[in-house]
Amino acid sequence: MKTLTFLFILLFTSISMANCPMEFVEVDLCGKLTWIDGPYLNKKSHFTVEFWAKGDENKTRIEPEFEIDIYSWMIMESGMSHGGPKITSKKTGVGIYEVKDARFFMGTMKGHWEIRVELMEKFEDISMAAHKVEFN
Amino acid sequence: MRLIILIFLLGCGDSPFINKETSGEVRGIPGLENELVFPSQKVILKTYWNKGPIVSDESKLTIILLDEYGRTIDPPLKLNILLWMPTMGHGSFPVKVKKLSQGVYEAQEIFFTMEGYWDIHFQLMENNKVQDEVKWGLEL
Repeated sequence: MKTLTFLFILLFTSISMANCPMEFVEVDLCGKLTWIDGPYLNKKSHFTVEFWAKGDENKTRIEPEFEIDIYSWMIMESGMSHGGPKITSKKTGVGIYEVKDARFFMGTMKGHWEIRVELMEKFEDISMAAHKVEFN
Repeated sequence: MRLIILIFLLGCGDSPFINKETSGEVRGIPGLENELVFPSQKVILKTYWNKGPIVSDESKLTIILLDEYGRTIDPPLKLNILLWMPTMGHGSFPVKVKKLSQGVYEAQEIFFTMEGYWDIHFQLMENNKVQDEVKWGLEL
């Protein structure tokens, strides 16, 4: 019975992640990061982030009613964390943003990089979701 | 023309930002400009921030290499720049070194990713090995 419950939870989580890879819990929005070129270490990487309403099976892109801040964040095994080189994002259509200058490096650090997408209003954080960067 | 103006400015006397005293391995001081020497090659490096130094955003540094007579020269070996944060034990994104003219280079894509003490290592490389090195320590 315990195994069945565990498998059910795992299945539910996987489906939920597939439908809403980046969930902005506070505003019922979903987001998805797609790599166009990369991710790379020590050279520029290129990706897009798109948004849709949570629960929309068609994933029709919508424009969040907030300012969008996209940045990289390093989480080290030591427990410390810090930001990365500045990223510039450009809106390329309704609910879609493009980043061409994400820069990742390890420089002997042990840990992982995330791309964080923050929704803001009047300089206040409203909601944030993160995408873990996996290098091949 | 720019080079002539630059050389003229270099000859205008000591800047209040320059401290020629050295201590230990760290040479130079934090500031807007600096003067360092590759001891084995007798090459003088003069450095000027074009942009920054700033945390997170890109900083750019102009580097002028001079011989003992004050003439601009290209480095005898490949010039490499490495950022290192000794207190945290890690580096940063690779710095790009672009030649502007003989002896005049611009270091681009300098990213200090957090506040604190950083060393900028100026290295002369041969077959991917450091042959000579000087450091500039900066507190951001």
